[in-house]
Amino acid sequence: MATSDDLKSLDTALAFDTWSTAVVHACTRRLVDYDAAGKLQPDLAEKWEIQDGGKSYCFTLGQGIQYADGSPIQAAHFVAALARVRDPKTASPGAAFFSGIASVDAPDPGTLVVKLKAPDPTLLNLMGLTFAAPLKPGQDSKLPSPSGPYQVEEYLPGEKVTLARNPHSEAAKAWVEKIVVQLKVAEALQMTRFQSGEVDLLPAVPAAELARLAGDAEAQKRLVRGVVPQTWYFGMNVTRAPWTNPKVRAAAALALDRERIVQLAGGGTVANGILPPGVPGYRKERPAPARDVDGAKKLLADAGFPGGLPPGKPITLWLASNEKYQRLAEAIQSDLKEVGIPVELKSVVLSEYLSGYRTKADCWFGGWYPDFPDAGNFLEPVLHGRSVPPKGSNAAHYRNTEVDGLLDRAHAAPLGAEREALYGQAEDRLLSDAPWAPLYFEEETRYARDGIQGITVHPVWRQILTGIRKGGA
Amino acid sequence: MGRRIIGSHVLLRRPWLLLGGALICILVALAIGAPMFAPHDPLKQNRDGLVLGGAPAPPGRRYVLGADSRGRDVLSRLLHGARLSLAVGLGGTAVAMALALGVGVSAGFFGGTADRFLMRCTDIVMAFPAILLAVALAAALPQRNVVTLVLVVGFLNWAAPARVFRSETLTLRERLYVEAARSLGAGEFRTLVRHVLPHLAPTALVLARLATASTVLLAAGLSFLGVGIPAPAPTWGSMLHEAQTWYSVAPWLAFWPGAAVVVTVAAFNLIAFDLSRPGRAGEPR
Amino acid sequence: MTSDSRVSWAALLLRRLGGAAGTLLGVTLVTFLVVYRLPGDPAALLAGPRADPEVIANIRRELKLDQPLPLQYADYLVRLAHLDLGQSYVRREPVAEVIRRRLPQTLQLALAGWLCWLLFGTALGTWVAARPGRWREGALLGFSILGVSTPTFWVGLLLLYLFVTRWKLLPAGGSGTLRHLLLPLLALSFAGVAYYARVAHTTVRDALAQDYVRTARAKGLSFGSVVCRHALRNALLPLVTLAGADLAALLGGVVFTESVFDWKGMGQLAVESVALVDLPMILGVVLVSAIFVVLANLIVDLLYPLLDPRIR
Repeated sequence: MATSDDLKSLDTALAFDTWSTAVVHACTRRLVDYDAAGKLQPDLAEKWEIQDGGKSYCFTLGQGIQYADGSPIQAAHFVAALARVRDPKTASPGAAFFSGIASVDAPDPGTLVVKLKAPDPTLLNLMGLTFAAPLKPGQDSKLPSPSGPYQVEEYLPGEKVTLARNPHSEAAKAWVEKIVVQLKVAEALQMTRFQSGEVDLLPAVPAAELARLAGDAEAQKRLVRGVVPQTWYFGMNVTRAPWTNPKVRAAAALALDRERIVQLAGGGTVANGILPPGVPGYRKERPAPARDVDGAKKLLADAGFPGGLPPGKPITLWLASNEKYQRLAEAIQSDLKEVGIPVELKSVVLSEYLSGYRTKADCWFGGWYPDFPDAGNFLEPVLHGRSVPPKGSNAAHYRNTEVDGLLDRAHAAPLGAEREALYGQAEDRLLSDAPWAPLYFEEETRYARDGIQGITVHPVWRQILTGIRKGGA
Repeated sequence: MGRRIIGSHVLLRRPWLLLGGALICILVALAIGAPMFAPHDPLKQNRDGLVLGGAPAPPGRRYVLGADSRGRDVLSRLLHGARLSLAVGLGGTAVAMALALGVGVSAGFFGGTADRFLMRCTDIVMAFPAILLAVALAAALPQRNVVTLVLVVGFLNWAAPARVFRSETLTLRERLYVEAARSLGAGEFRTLVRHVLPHLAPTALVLARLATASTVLLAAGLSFLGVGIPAPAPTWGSMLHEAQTWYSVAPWLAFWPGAAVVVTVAAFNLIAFDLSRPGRAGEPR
Repeated sequence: MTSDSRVSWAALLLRRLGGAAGTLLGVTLVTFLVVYRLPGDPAALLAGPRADPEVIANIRRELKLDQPLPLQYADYLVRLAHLDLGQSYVRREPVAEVIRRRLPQTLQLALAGWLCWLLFGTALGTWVAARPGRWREGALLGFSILGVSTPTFWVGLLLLYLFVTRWKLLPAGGSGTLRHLLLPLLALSFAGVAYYARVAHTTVRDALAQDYVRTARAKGLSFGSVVCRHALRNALLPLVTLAGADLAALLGGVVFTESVFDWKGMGQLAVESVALVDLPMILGVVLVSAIFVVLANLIVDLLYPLLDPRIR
């Protein structure tokens, strides 16, 4: 398969982007894992008990679990892995997830005890993250310890990564023997490589090819589509003019033509809220916002800007440089200009975007997705008052004690309807206050050769390499 | 035979100059008159510019050269693009020639330590892989706009002409009349301005034409690699950059801006070629 | 060669070597100053989209990005003196390792392209010079001006569209086999062949007009052998000097070809590294390319007096 993405690291403690995670996921097993529907299931852990009012988790490991070389997987290996992730010297991007953990112990090789500082029902989700995969003693940390159905055979950064089936894995017996992921392949070349037989699977069909395939019924049958829990949005820093005025923010939210943005993106669903589908608390029934140019102009007039914002200090819209983002940001720019909000695009390389959009941007185009299906994991880092930079990723600098209170109450609530209702209330409040104008929910596409089965868009992992089979047909 | 007839006769004997000059005149006219000639707003994202599935509309009656991936009119962007592309090219040349003259003439004229230092700087600039230096410089700019890009493009193109100016100045300095002027008590600066610079003019003219060809190419290249004038401003290079992901579906997006670059660069090369032919530097034979 | 000239040649060698080292030092300094101005924080990139400021600060410390610039430069020079190019920030492997993997790819492309320039360019130029004619010369001139005026990346895109998307004759980018090499080579050669054809045409034409060639012709030698033995041989010297410098420049100049054809070489690596703010990687690639340029110039400089004693 060929992708235009690169992966940053195959070190279990450092892998965090989609492709790094997909490879580490295929090469490891964790205490728990998600099934095809995104539900948590026991994996290496046979069972677990929750004690001490939700502050202590005791996992019992399954029998006969082993690495690809046949050596046994022990509870101490999880302790080592978590210690490494939490060690500030490792500088793991996942360290913050595990900050609520008080201690991790392995009283015997088959038992793992995790104690928390405060009850947190999402601990099981955390144990499903690739960061929590067992670390084999003496293993080179540059590659994942091979506890999973595949292992890394060759990795050339920026070029390709080759996975080979783990001979000991029962599940993998039915799957393909070898997976080669070509990295950083220019979009325009991908479909041709598919057609020439060089690759069998396109894990993300480029927008240009989707446009070309639109009228081809045969090709449409081959396309696998799936909405993933990622919200693309237009964010506004509420501490910077003109976004300090909620009416101007609301006007911007009304001005955007989401249908067209979806068309330009080459797929997706118009966002009807901040929480994407797949996250508990997502509300399917909420109507999607429609474009209303006159309404937007009226709101601007109410805000004291009849006829649009006066020319003055330019408003900068930050985006990470990429042809697709550029296309979408230009659409936003042109929509906003029509109602009288002129913005300037600042297209910067990803590293500058990441280090700057939180503090230097007036507004920005971004996408956000949860690390596991939980509304708190989605909302808290980006819209809680506690997460306002420099400490967190609340680039909107949005502080609202009411929203913060709702989020805090929901966080401690047990999983289920009550928790979801609280998050729902917070989301309603956020939508009317509009620090974000949600645009669309991401849709991923795959394009595979006949006879290749098991291609899915996973609701949690998105790209998933396990389960791919070559059909007998 | 009247004087006028001889004049036109000379031009006719120099078809390359005529062709290059005519092309440049047309390009400049198109660039200046872009708002008049362009059938559409180059920034307007037309809803009918995208057809089924979000593909750009192919060339047709409404969009003569087709629409781009945002539904904008390619012809209008091409015309407006001429402005920015020519501006960066010509501006870059001006900067490059000024730098080259400054460095080359002072190195050649003053000699000694100044010469060694300046030539070492030239060596350093010439040792760089030019495109890489340009990309890094452009990426490092605090703000990318026409002015800063002119500076980058100019900075990349001064070293080679500076060497030529230096060696010409050296030759001139040795010539008797400069010595004579100096012995008559003319100041150094006066000698430089009165006796050296005028003689460099024909060379400068040729080098400037050649430099313009390479600055236009470099400007397009930088935009192509994504470090040119920021979008949505239309430049030929950024149009090609956007075409990179679309050419398989919409080849016209890649064809026209590239063709525009070729015509422009070729026009400047034609003139430089004609001027650099022996016996034709400046005055007709 | 007299012993006297040998001494002066050795002195020249020493002086030139010193100069080359100075140039390279200057190159590292300029690169350092430029790349450390690059906006963006490599630490933020490594830490990912949800990073804590603390994690970012840790990474910065680990990469020594928190130290003042002169100190970092001194540190870099010291490591360079130990032939250590450092560790890539993003790829987390030694820069030298990545370059060792990528350099052969670039060498292959650049060398092949360079040979095409030299062979086809010279052949074409010589042929037209040997058989002058209004139309042939006009066509050569048109071709050479068109060639040097065409951006490589545009030729590349057109070739990709025609041969790959349209006719599906050749592989869609990538490197490795001869079939992969064909299109990049074609794109790379267009401008070069045009340029060399013109240079060869001028030099051979001038050589043919020289007295000794006329004499040889008068002595009854066939025209073909006159062209080959005398004119071409004399014209070759300037061509080879030009070519030496060009080969070196090509190593840093195949950026566009590599990026259009997804050729995994040094040029692509450098452009990617600029976008990723992978400072040691950029420094490494620029330095290696500069070494080639400086070496080539050095060799040309040193060979020149040996070939042509009048220079001294």
